[in-house]
Amino acid sequence: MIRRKRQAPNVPVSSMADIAFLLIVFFMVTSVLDTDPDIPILLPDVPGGEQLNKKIANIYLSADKNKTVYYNTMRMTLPEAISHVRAKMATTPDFKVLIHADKDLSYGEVDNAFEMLKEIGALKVSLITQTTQGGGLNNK
Amino acid sequence: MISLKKKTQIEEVSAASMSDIAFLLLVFFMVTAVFFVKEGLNVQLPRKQASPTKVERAHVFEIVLTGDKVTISNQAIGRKEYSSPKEFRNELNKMEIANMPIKLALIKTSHETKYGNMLDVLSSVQLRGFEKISVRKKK
Repeated sequence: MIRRKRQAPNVPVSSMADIAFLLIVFFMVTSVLDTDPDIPILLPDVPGGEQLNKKIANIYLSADKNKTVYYNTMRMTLPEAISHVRAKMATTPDFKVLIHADKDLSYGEVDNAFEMLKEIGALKVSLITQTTQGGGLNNK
Repeated sequence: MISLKKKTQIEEVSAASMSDIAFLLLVFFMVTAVFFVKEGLNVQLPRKQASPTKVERAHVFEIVLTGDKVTISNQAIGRKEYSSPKEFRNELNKMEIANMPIKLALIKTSHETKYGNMLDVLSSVQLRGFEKISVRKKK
């Protein structure tokens, strides 16, 4: 009787590298970079801010002499930004507007934005402060 | 004659550790990735058509913010003045507000007030435990 040598079973691992690289490429491609426009906004340094990770629209109000306004990464006037918010609200429920305003800006300017947001029914607002963990807008 | 010529073997590069390297890279980037977290004070704006609620004036904790100066007036505490929002924050934390029937604060400010000061006052009032905060802008 011929007795065959029993071979130890082995799992092929040669395709493991392909899977790993595929995962790397997948995450690299699908990750969305959240960018802020490159404008000098000095955010107020006050405690009590909550961390935000909701689907949101960003409005940036700078304190320079032109009172530059950005909606996400696009420069526009405040009424234009508000109309973008209104358009986004129609598709996204539980919507929040993040206001990045410079601490040297007069409150009236920010209140103006509040009034416009009230007009379109965007009542959930978050006033962005300096982060305690780094990240966010650069300081001047 | 016996030929001693060896068979030329094709040299192989070992790819077995490739997966280790790839997973290591994957884990490294996952661990070092910094999530872009923003922090902010959440505010619920009133509805445009909302009718104003009436409260007894005595229960209201009134804060007037003019420039850097903060003035508070309340029946229980009286009238006090602070030179900066920072000083107001420190003093507010020492105040006894637990026996207030309604934790309602009214912040009065003007168009010219700096937004930073305004937010400082708002944050200290929020953190102190006031449940309802109303902001009014002086004309």
